[in-house]
Amino acid sequence: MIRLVLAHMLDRPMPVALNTLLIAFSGALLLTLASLSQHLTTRFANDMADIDLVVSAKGSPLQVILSSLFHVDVPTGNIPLDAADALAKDPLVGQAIPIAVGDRFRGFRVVGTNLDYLALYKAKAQVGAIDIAADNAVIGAAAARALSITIGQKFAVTHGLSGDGGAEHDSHPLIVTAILAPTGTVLDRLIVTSVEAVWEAHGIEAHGQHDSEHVDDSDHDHENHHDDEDDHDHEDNHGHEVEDDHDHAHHDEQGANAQEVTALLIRYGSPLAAVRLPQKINEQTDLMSAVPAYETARLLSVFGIGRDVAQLITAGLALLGGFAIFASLWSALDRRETDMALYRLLGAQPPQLLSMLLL
Amino acid sequence: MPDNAVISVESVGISRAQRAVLQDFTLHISAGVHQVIVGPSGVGKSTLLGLICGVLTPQHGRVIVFDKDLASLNAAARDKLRATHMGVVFQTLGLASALSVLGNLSLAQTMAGIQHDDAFATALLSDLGLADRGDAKPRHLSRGEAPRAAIARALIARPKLFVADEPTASLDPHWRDTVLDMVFAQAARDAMTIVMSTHDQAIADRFGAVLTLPQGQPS
Repeated sequence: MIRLVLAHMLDRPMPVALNTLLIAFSGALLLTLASLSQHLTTRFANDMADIDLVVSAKGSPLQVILSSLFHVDVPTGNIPLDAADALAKDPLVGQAIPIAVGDRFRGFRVVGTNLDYLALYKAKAQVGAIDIAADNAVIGAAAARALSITIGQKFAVTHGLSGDGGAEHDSHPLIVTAILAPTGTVLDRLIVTSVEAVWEAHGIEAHGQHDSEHVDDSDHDHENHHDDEDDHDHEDNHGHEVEDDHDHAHHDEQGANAQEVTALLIRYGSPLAAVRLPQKINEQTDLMSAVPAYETARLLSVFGIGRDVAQLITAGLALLGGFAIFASLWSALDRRETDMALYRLLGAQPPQLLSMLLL
Repeated sequence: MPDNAVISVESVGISRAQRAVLQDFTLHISAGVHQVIVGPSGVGKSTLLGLICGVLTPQHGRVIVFDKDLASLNAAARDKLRATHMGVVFQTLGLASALSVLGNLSLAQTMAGIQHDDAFATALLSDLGLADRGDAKPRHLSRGEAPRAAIARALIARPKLFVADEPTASLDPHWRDTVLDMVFAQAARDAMTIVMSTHDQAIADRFGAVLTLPQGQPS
């Protein structure tokens, strides 16, 4: 029977090939969309890495999440280190991880932070040993692949998060100590160093006493300060062009040489913190809190519209495919009516006839 | 019904296209008989063969083949009976267009549930002048070759009953006689019963039992 079916298929190769393609295309389209949707949700969840709250300068909460967690947007501004330190000491805070962003290297963002940030993403060294003290840096797997970078290599970062321009911080090159194993998170696309290295690249002296592993230990006064965003106009703007209209007046108020971080990634110290901490930060400080889970859900709901449209189109295509297959089957039935009758006359049983019709 | 009848058509009535083709028709064919049905077009020769094959169902009466009342069998069982006990040559020949001549023979063996006998297939084709046409598709056969291929397919499973609807109509006298010789030889060898329709008196003369329609009774 299989030989008979094969003979029929070989007897009309073009319709068989076209029908196979049609079914494969419709199926692939549906699977691709489902997979993309699943991948997007999983990717967001991975990138959030159990962070409960992100604290940054006031602005758009979604922008804060995008810039500080997913590293796809510019930050809303900076927060003074002493404010960050004070917040880190709050009993409602279980863990506070500072991040300082504002530079890039050949398109990949440089993040100043501490080892806790790497622990968040369960980072492991694929090559070398993880060390981000001082000017040392580790490179995410995807970034390392694209940059073809090697252990021990020195490189000067460029000021700004995007675009072609930007001054290079030649005087403070970073040194590669490790290339990280792939994590399937945003870390794969980042270059991670210490907060102090970011400060020093921008001419802010990081005093020896400061330890970015513990933001609450820091109480230093620094000579100079640069906003970590490339898109802002700074007093010592390194000659950059600004890309957005943020006016960081607070920089001037606090002095251009103050130590700042871009954001604090916070894990709650207790379940109660989920209720009280965001409200407390928003009402009692100049800082702003953004809840990743909420903002991501909001973002996904925006994507959801597009996803719904795509699903609608795919469903339409699948329906068309279904109609085409039905038409093809109908045509096959019509065309093979004689054959079917013949095979019945020869003694073919219903299952054999059905297999011949379907194939 | 005679004891040794392999086919009993009893008081059958059947109408086709709102026209009564057979009415209260009775026929018994014993095992090993060579029965020919003659008569002008439209008298019911093909209808009678269709009833015997179980392809058609009578409105009245019953048809018993190999002790089985065909009306009591479902369609699949009738198809199975036909595949295992009968070799049929239809007026339209009904060769499977997707298969070669040898493929058609092989299919008939498969449907009959018997071991493939390639040597017998080759011998059949050779006797029917189709030795070099085994790999040809039916659409590439000539009008003289296609009926012979259909006859070979009907004989390949060594059926107990050979039913053929004017199988030699498009054959020249040489091949007509050769085909009949072959069929009679196999009938003698395998105790095969033959039921065949024809317009050709020369063919009818070679049969021991002749039924002339539309009289409706065996002669």
